[in-house]
Amino acid sequence: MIMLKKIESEPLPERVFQYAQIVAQNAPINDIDIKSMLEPAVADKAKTSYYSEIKNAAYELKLISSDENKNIILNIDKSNLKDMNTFRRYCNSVIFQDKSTSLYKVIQCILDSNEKLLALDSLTADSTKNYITSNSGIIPEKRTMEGVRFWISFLGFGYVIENSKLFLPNAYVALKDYFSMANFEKKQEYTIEELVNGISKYASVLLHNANETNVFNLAMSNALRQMHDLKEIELKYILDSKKVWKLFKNESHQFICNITHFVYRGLK
Amino acid sequence: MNSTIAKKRISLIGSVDAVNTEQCDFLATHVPFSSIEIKNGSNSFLSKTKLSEDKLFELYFNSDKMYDKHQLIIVEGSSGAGKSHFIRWLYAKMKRVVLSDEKEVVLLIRRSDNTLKGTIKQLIEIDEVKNIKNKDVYRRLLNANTTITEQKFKLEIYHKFLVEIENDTDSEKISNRSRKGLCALLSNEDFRELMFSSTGPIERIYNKIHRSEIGSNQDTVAQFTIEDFTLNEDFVTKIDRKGADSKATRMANKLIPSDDDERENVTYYLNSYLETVIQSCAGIEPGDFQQIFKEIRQELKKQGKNLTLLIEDITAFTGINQALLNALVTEHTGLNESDDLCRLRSVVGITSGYYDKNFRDNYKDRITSEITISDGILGNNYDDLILFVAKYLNAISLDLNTLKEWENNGAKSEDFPVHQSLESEIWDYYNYNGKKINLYPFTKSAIINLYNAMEGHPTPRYILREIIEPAVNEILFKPESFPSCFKNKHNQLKDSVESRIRSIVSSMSISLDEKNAMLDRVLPLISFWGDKTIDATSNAIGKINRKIFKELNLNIFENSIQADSADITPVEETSDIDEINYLDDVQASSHVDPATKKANDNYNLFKEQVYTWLNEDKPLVNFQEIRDAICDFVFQSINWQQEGIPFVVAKKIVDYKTSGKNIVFFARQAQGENKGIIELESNQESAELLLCFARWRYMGNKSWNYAEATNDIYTATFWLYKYKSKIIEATKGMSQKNYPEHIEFAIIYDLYRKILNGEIKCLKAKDIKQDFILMPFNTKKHQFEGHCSEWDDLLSYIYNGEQSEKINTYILQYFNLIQGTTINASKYVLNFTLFNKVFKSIKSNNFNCTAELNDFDKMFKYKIDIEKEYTKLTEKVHIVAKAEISKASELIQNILIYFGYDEDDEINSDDIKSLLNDIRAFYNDALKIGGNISNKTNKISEILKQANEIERALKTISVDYDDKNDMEIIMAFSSDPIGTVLSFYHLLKEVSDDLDTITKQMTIEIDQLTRKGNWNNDVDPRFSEEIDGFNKLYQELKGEE
Repeated sequence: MIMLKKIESEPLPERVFQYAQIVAQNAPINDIDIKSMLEPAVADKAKTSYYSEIKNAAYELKLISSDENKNIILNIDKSNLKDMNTFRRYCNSVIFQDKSTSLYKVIQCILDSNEKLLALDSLTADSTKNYITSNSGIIPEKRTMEGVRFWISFLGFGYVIENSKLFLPNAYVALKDYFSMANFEKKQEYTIEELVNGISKYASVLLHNANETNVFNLAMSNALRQMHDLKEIELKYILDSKKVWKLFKNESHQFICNITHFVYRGLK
Repeated sequence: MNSTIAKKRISLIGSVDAVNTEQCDFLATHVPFSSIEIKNGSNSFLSKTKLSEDKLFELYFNSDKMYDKHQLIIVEGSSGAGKSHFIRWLYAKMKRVVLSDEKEVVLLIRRSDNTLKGTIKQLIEIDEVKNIKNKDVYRRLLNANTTITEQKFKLEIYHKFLVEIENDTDSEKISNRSRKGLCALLSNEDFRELMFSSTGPIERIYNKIHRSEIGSNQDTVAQFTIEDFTLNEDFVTKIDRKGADSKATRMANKLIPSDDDERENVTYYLNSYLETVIQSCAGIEPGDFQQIFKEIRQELKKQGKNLTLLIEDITAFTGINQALLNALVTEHTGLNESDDLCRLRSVVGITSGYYDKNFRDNYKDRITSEITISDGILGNNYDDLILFVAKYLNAISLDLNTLKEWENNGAKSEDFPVHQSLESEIWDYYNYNGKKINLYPFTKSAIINLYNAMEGHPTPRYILREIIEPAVNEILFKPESFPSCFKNKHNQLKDSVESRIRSIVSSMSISLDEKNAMLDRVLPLISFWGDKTIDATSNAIGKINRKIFKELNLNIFENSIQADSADITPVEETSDIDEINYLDDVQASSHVDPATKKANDNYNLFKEQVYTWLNEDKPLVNFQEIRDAICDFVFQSINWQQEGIPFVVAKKIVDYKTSGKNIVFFARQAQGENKGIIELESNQESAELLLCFARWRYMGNKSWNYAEATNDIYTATFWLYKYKSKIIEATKGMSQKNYPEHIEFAIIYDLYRKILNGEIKCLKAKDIKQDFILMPFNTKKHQFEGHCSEWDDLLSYIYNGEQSEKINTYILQYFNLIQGTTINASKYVLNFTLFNKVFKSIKSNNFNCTAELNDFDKMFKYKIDIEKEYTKLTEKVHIVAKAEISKASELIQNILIYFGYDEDDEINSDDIKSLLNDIRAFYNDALKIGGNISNKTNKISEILKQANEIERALKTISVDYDDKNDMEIIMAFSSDPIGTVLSFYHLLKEVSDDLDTITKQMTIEIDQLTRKGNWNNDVDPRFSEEIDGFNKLYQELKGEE
């Protein structure tokens, strides 16, 4: 378990996607052939190969398996590899199933930090790593955080400013994936509790403690506001509702804090 | 509010000078001074006592104990603190005393008539002194100089100063040299012009003698100031160039600010003549004023009366203040008892600054009491402020007669008349002695917030002019605009709240003008009337009762804000206003550290420019830094690789530092539109984006660590998502292929280069492998023997410069999946999908790219450069291909001749070997007969080894290329087959030459033999003779055996 347990910087989402693409187009295929396509000797002058890290990440994401001849075969429907969006959606459906992985814990810690990391330095700075250690129990190396930065933005939890390595939380893209996996009916009104229950199977990393506290973190709050602003859902605050959910405060938005319901309008 | 009365009485608010209003209005709008500091004497060690105004009046002005005592009471306070108001209030109270005490004469000397002559005039016009003995003389005095023109009078003032200085021969205040220099300078025409300017000292002094000033400059002191004598080098150079007296120039130099300049000395020196000059110009001799005053007091004493003199502001009495003070300190008892003066009780208003600087100690010692007004007429808490506003609002809704009646009945607070309000209590009211004064069109919050938003030191005058007057005017005469009169006041709304309000209004289905008008009203309403939020309940928005929005006809706005929390308490009067010192509040809020202040100022300036751009159809100015920050945010935040765009491309297009282009630009931006890629319209969304990054820049100092940063993160990331697909599409180059055309140009160019340099060993385009494209740049230019000169020239051209290597590097970087931004990584992980796609496309087009760069691509030099190189190369390749074929054709023709074959015949390796063997035999024979040629057998052996290769080369160059494209042609010739054949051809040519040589030798020999007769029938007879001899000998030897 290379990527999820011990986060590495080499298996970028794009590289893992390419690996899966090669397998999808050539399976069954052996390691040597995949490697020659992924790391063509004519261009690759580096001494170190990333092949095994990339392959392991593909395994961990259940993208590939081996046949009886030890050749690599595709483990998922090819439609999941149509493009990076379908690939991301697939990843979001499997990557956080195991809550014990380092990737889960570190990403959850970052998402829970709300605005706190903005006051610290970059994602790879010591101050941030110390914060992660204190709040998740994981002791990240620099390359751990470098790896996290690629996946956290790829999975749609926000944007990483490349030069400063700062993470700007807005999980709209991920939340949209989770919506696509849930079964909400168009024009139907749901409570926020129903929303949380509907997506929590996949989105637990984003909803840490939300059920207990009725408070959403900044990334989730921004995601809900964006879905509302793009008219994919309609947030509501019904005054006499039993349960009021708190968004991360944003005075410039129509929904500054409280929400109770939403109407599903359909993803765009 | 009674609008009918208020429309007539609104001028009351305009009468900002307390002394000009009707007495009843004054009393009706007076807010009691609840805490006045007073100490007896001027000794700073004496403790101060705090008294209410009523208590103070009773103790000092209405008690038997003090009745006959001489009093000089100073009322000190800063400008606008309420000294005049207090003195005016004292006057009103004293007048009521006079009603019951006919022995007291009370005279108020107003600031509005504070000229030297005006003061004397007021004194001699007191009824009780009508019969003063020298009254006619004094009247003549007052009329002196009234016929003189203004200019002449000013000149007279100026010259009198000059005369005083010229005649000052033993001054200790200034050196003799400086005094002479000053005289010279004062005589200089340019300097005089300065002194006579509209803001200069002569104008000020003239006004003190002749005119009464109006407005806010009443506290101006008619003195010379250091600023009057502050010169600069330009001025000194100017007068010097004009030939000014050297003494004047020298003095002028001393008035340029420096450590040892003479500005302060000169100012002090000239001010010492001020009183003399003013009195002299007014036609009053020293001692005149004191004499007049003495006579008035004597006259009053004669009548058994006493004098209470209330002087609103002594600061204004330049010219006689020494004389006036001399008169005021003169007691009626003790040493002066014989003068028969009446008792004098004087109350003198004086600004703190003047008191500290200009009040001589000997006068200070004579002060009997010192009152300090520090809390202003507004009291010291918000409650007093609200009462002040409430009383004005009430007074303008009451007709004058009602107030006069109240005044006539003793102006008792319990009888205080309150107008019948037509407005509901949603506007708040003030509870005054159990009576409710409606605050319409204000609320308590509005009064406090508007007050706190005032800049500088808010005085009653400014509160009336800047808060009450504009609001009342607008609600009475233009209610549909209310309260837009405050639209230009800094609204103090958080940006997040303002941006939300703007966004709500922006989304309304009304015209742009209506939206702007709506914003002009709603922003100040939320800001000042409410709690600066739009937190909504079913009853209120930002603590403003929803009914207020309805009453102001702002229903559309009110309806668009749904309740987001339950009503906890009903919206009602805010009677629990904290009694805190709001002056301290204002002062505290002004203590902002300079860096923050600068950042705020920069931000506010930018914000103003953005809204001017948005609302007034004007260009967007000073936007570059923020626009660049937005572009950088786009470049740094999108993971280009994940979006299918190689980072190297994003860097060349989106990174403005590399590309010189801006991925976004703004409509009507003042400059640089041609460098922008995606235009952002002038709308609310764009304005918010600009402000979001302005806050990041100024508030966060280029970080996301500042208050409200999380709001801005939403704004920025939401915007980025909305525009991402557009940005991605633009970066990809609007190509139908999902990747930009220029990469095909680059790949084909690089393939041509590799073919021309002999790096690709295949003959057909269909055999080109993917690896060929990924081959790194070969820095070694190969040397060929057989290519045509055009081929050699083209290769030299390609290798001359860096462009070819750059293109190759670009291709490799284009398909490498890098980590982060490590473009130059040696590690290579192929973007297999993209590479495959491009390769297939190129191959299907037989490595020929016919596409043209679109307009978007043409914005980028690197793309243009690649296309240019590609075009140049393909044009040249066409020429090379033709030349190479021509050379090959010629060669093959020549070789066929050697073989003696026809044009259509093919030469195979056996033919070559056979010919070479014949040639070898030829050389053997030739050498045997002693032919004079070099032996080529070694060379023949070498060529013989290459027979198969030569055969292939001959086949290659013999192909008919008419139906082949240029790439296939140069691929065919890439391995230099002509070069291979050429060595064979050269041998053949040499052999041919040798053959000729041998032939020639033999011909010569035949000729010689023929001539000798030894040659017969093409046979050399010598050989027959030799053979015969040989045979004979052989037979003999054989026979012997």
